[in-house]
Amino acid sequence: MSDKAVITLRLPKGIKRDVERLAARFGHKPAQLGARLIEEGLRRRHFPQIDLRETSSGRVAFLAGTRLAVHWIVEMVPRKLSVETFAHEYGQAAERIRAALAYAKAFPEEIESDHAHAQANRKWIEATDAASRIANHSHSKSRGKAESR
Amino acid sequence: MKLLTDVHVARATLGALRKLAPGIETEHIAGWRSGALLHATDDEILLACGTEKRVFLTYDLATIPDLLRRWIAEERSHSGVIFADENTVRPNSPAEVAAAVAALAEEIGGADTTNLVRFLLPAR
Repeated sequence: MSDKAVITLRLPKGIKRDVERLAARFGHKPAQLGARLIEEGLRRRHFPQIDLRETSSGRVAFLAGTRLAVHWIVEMVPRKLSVETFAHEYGQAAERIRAALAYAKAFPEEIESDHAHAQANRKWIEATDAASRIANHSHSKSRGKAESR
Repeated sequence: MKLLTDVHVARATLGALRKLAPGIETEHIAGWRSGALLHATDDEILLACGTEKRVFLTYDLATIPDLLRRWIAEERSHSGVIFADENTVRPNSPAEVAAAVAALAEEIGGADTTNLVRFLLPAR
């Protein structure tokens, strides 16, 4: 059985046009985008310290007003640093860090997916880095040979 | 080399790096351009770095790599990005980050950093 329900909304014509325009921009159907905007609105209401941003990787949750992604905070706290230490080191109130952890607890699949994506990217970065190291090494060797001639 | 460190890197790293590798001119995103880029998108940060040929050091492995791949596909260039991972070099340890960056900068030498993508490893 589907976990979705149908709801009919009456929107002002201007809002309908905006939803349609935005949906066309992101390649969604207006109804899909409408559902997403409602869901985001509710999340913002429940978690005002969290900012959902559109990035090259899709929607990612950040601590509002910062470049600290929630999935990154979860990697750091409490495994590496306590809430208080992390908050102090990154100039944030401890309540804001707790809010990020609460968001992660409420949406574990989303945070796990962001983390998995970062790990997949890490493989690409490591491969690119290895190629750069080899190129740099060959360049240094050939430069060394040329200088010794 | 000119470097811009992302918000994940402790600001004290700048002092540690100045002592260890005075040749690296480093700015922290919270202070560079009066902190104007703290709320900027990844695109805007990379574009701003490009204007000064500044390499961007970030722990953001989730969104910036996708942006770089998109730029590669669009044949757009950037002034270099060094990625770091909290399990490899601790972002809140100025000494560790500074030593790792100094070692990598030495390896890169005076080479052009355009489109450079490197992974920060602990200094040996």
